[in-house]
Amino acid sequence: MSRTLRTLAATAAAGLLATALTVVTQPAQADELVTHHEFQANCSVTAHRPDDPIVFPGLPGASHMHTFLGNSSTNASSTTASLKAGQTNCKTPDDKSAYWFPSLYNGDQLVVPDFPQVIYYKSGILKYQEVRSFPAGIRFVVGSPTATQEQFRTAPGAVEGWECGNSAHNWDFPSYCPPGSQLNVRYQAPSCWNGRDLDSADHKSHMAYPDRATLVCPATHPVPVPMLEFKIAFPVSGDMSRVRLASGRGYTWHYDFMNAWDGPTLQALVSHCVNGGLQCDPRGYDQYKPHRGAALGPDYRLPR
Amino acid sequence: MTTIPSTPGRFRALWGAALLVLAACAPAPTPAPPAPASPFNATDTAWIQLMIPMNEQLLPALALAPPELAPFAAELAESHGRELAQLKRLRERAGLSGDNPHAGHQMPGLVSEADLAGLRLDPAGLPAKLREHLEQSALLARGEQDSGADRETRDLAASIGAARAAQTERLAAATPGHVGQHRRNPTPPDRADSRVVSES
Repeated sequence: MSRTLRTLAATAAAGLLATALTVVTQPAQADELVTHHEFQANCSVTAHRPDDPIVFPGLPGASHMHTFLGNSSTNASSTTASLKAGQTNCKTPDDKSAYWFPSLYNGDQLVVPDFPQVIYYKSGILKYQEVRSFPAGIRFVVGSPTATQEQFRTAPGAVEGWECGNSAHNWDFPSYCPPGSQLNVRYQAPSCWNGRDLDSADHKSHMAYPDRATLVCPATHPVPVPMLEFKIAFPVSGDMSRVRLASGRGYTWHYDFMNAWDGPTLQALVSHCVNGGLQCDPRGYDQYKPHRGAALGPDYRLPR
Repeated sequence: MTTIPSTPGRFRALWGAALLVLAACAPAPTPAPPAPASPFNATDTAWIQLMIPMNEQLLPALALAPPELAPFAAELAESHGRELAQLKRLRERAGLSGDNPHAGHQMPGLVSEADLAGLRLDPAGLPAKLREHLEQSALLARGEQDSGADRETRDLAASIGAARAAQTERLAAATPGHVGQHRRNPTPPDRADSRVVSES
């Protein structure tokens, strides 16, 4: 096991070097105002399954219904290796990661996000230059299906709760949304890793949020990794009284991530966009700073 | 008398700097291998931790059985109790805590507090709930048999799976014309995959 991991790490390190040699990116200029440090993954819905490869590995049908994005092979038995062998609809094809969340229903009708969804990779810490790439194989759960409304409202991952039209900061579903609007939710993930475990018994405690005041990672979880922020839009509006999640009320919102990125590709995006202080698209390109170039080629892949 | 020359301070500093450089160059921290070889894999522990609340939370629902269902409900309560004792022994052997990771969850086949409140108001919903529970635990037992590692846990899953098949038949016999006709089926009996809704 550890030998395999060492080999993997060595391979990743070699890949990093190659990346540094092939992709030339201009560093931020001193006079350039840094307003963002992020890039996006754009991934569409693949399937809805009562599966959860993190919480119920190997037990198909054990979970409440989940809506999956990105890698179409994701099922109850997914592993890092099986994901890497799968296909993805993410705009960046070397992102074979699995992303999922509880399915949303209007009464008994499944509500399916109908365009590529945004998953931000941001800096959760003040010193965005120090954010490192995710280790291969890391997985975790964000938020809790058993949260109370108060816990959801005050969670470190909370952004503006559920939003539609001009209504925001709702800590459960709004009772009404303007016809034709979409129901949106954003929620931020912990971005400090304990540097040791790729998973943990509760699938959470190997990760932690940065200190809220200083935006520094705690000593127990010293390694800053990208901060995921799922931004999901559900096409449901009008009377919202029958809207529910497969896990319950709006405040049971949570999501899951299994990293299956190609290591050098993720590293290139983190270095160029997060460490480099840019607002990048899934190609690692900031349209407001075109002179900074892109992390990936026109095919959204690393030049090889 | 031999004296071991002490390392000059400057060299020590250099050596320290070299170590720092090495540390900085080291690849991402190597994740520790999982705890010393346990016969239990992730499927085993997930199954044990789910089956305990599945069985436990059914018991108060069984107490609500109408007279015609009472004998079957009593049998089920007894066998579920026996399984619970075995499951809890396995939980201990696997070194798992007694915490219920599914407290408050709404999941297929798991009788929630809300389900129980509903059944108290309308016990006529009990046969459908029972059937959902039996089918879901049969499905979970197959998953454990397919993907579990610990021999004893897989054996228990096999015996629970066989028991659920027999119990589903007994339920159908005890509630003629009641179960499986007008019911929306959240858990098809044969394949979990049949519930997958694909987007194209």
